[in-house]
Amino acid sequence: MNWLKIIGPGLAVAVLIGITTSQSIASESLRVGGTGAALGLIRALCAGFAESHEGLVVKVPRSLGSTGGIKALLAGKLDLAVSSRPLRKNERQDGVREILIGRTPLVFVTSRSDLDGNINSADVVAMFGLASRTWPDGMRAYIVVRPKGESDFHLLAKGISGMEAALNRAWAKPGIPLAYTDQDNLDRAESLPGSLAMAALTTVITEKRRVARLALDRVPATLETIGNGTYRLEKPIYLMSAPGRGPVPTDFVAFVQRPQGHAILLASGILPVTP
Amino acid sequence: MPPDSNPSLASEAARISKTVTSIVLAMAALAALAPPLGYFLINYDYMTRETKTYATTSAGLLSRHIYGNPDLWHFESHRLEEILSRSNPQGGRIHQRILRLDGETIIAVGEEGGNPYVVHNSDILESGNKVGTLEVKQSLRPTLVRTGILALLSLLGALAVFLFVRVLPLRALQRAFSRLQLSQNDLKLARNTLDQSGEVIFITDREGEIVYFNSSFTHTRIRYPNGVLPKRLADFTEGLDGVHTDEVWQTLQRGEIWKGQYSSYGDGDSKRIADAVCTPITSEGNHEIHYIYMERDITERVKVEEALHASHRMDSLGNLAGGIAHDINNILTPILGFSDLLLEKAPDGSNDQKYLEIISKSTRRARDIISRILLLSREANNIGVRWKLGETVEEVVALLRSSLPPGIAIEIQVDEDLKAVEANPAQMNQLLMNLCVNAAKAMPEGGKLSILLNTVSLKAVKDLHGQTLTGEFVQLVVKDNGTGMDEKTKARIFEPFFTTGGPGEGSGLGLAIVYGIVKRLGGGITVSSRPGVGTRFDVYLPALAASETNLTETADPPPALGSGTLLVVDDEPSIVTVVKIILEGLGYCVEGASDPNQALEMFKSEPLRYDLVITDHSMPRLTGKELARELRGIRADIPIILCSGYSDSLGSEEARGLGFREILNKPVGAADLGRAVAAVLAQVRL
Repeated sequence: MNWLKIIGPGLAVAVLIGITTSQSIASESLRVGGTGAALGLIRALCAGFAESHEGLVVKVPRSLGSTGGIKALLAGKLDLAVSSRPLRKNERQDGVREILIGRTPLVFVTSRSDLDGNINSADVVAMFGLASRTWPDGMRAYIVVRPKGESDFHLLAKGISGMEAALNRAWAKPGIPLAYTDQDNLDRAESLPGSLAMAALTTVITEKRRVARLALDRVPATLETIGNGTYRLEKPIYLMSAPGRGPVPTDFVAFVQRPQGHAILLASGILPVTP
Repeated sequence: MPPDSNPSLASEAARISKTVTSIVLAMAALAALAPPLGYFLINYDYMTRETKTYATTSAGLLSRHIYGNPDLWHFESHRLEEILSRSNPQGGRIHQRILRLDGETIIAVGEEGGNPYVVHNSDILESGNKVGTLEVKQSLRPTLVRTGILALLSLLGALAVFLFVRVLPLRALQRAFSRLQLSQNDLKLARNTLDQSGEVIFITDREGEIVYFNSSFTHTRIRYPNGVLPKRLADFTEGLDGVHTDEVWQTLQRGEIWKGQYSSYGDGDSKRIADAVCTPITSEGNHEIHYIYMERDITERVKVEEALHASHRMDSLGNLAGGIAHDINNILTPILGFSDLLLEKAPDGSNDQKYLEIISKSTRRARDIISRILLLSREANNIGVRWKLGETVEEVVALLRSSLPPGIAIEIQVDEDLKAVEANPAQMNQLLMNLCVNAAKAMPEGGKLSILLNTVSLKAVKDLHGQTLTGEFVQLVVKDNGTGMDEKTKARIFEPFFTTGGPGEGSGLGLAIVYGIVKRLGGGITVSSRPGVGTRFDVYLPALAASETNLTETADPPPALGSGTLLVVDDEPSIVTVVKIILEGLGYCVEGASDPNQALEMFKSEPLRYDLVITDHSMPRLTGKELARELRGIRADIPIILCSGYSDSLGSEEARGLGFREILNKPVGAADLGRAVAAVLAQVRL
């Protein structure tokens, strides 16, 4: 099961952390959840953070989405929320604070391994807009579409000319399956032959997804290309914190912003934000 | 009967109308209710199923999505909303709401619409545990609105159905009933016509079974054995005189019309003659065949036709007799005249006197025979006198009594107030004599001869030959109880030369003369006879009013000597000669002409020369009547005596109207001629 792949490492870390914590600092916990794109990142960060916090119990629920994570934070169900978008006006209440921790490229992925690692933006528009149902080499193409409420939908729509109309057309097409979570998105990208999907680089890396990453118009989706601005499809990663949650969340945010945290970010496909 | 006055048909029409109305009302109600009700039920069922399907499907999707996240799943509201929106593609018609276990609404998608709703709830499960509820509902309001519109349209449709399905068929039904009513009336009229027809009418089926008969069928026929009406055509025609049942049936089987005539006899000697026709009747398509038998009683018509025929025969014979009599009289006139002249000159007791007397008597006998023959003809001398027949009866009986067989008793009954008739006494004698002689012959073994004279008043009584007698008549009845006659004999007894006797037993003129006399006098005659019972003749002669007195004959005076110039005209020169000699012997100056035109010229040349003209009537080129008209045109007061073998079509009144002062019948004797001339001249010279 795909979800085992997703939550399995997290649970293992949690159990490990829990066991460790229970031996030193009892009842210290950290609940972090939100966008599914960063779940692998969070788990890696938690594992690094837990090294300095014995007895810490970390809870990372399955993907709630950025909005769901923020809601859960506001509802007190999470200590920190991870989001791929900034707070909206209605979410800025009760002292909730957003911390941009880095950016990750949005990369086109496919289950095909026989490509030369590139796709043109025109082909992307044609395939997502259902103008072409095949790859340029003639193979049947299966696109994986995200719901309109997801941040990836809007990032992709704004990142490529003509993509918004193409995505709307695909979204409105009956029978086109929607991938409601990032994990669903990559599950489909892995399992469908001839698939074409877009995912955050960090998700692909941290979850070790078996998909081929494609350069867009010969520009690879790497931390370097988004760092130098040659690759414009990128996704921000925020941590949202709320007051009154104790020191652990604050410590965690500080950890992330330290070099140790940055190293984990870079290893997880996130280009850290430097102050 | 007017159409609406047939209660059974009217009630039947009302019943059908009521039934049709009920059926159409039911149809209209069905048409009004079925579409909206059906539409609503189908939609309601569909919506119920659809709602349940949506609820089940969406709850399943949600359950799969929230798997592994039993605590925080409800924070994914934006995803849950998109999942529900994707599963509700029909413009949000279906309202879906996710409820937590505490009843709080997490998200709701779709139009809620208005009450009432079709609602279905499905559990949202996580690892088999209920974590929430998906409420799916659809508003019934749009369906109810559409149902209402459909109900309105259906109502209009039902109204139209009611109007068209009820009104039109009922109108057609009423028209059909009206036509049926008219047909029934026609049928009734036809049936009444058949029933009330005087003809015998019945109808049979193709097997000859009588299926209809009219009232005449039961009333007219007199020969049904034991009073049992025939049931078949063959029963009816069997035994009819002159009708062969097999022939009738075979004719009909060939599709042809059978016609026939037969006679039947009832009680007594009543006879009925019928003209019958039997016709095949085929209905449309020749599927149904009936036969109609019609029989008309033509007894009266046949009698009239026979009478007319006999009358024509009598007229023909009379004309023939008149012509012969004229010629013979012309021959007899000089014989009688010259024999009278010679007889006056013959020495008494001489053979010449004896021979001349024989010639004179023979001539007079011949004249009598001719006069009898003339009685057959209406042209015979019709000059009569007012006469009471009682005296004639006594004279005839006196003459007969000695010649009748002793076994015949004669009974005479004469009404004391018997009225007179205008008749020639000699003809009356002849009439009565002939009837009595016939009666006596019918009683060879003796019997009773009755002679009755009455004055009777008749009202539309038809005589033997169909003549209608109305008014006051002198009735002469001559009846016997002799052998009588059968119908065939009775039908011919007035024909001239018809006799039932053997050779030498009769001329066959007796009753023909009787008929001629009666007819000439404007009377009538009836006869009834039955074989073995006897015969009765009833002679009716027009009675004169009581004020008209009798005239009695005076004794003939001897011819007187006279004077004057006379013109005698006759196409027979011998007659001119003998008349001239007779009258010259009496002192007259006589000029004769055998050509009427010559006589006219003679008269024209000297009109005042002549005191009297004696002319024949039947002459070539110019008749006596025409000559008289010419003469009176020249000299209006010239007296003219008509002396003719018979007076042709001149009656006595007409002859006098033409200026004839006297009419003499040839052959005329010297004395009669002399008296007539003297009498006319005496009148002129008064």
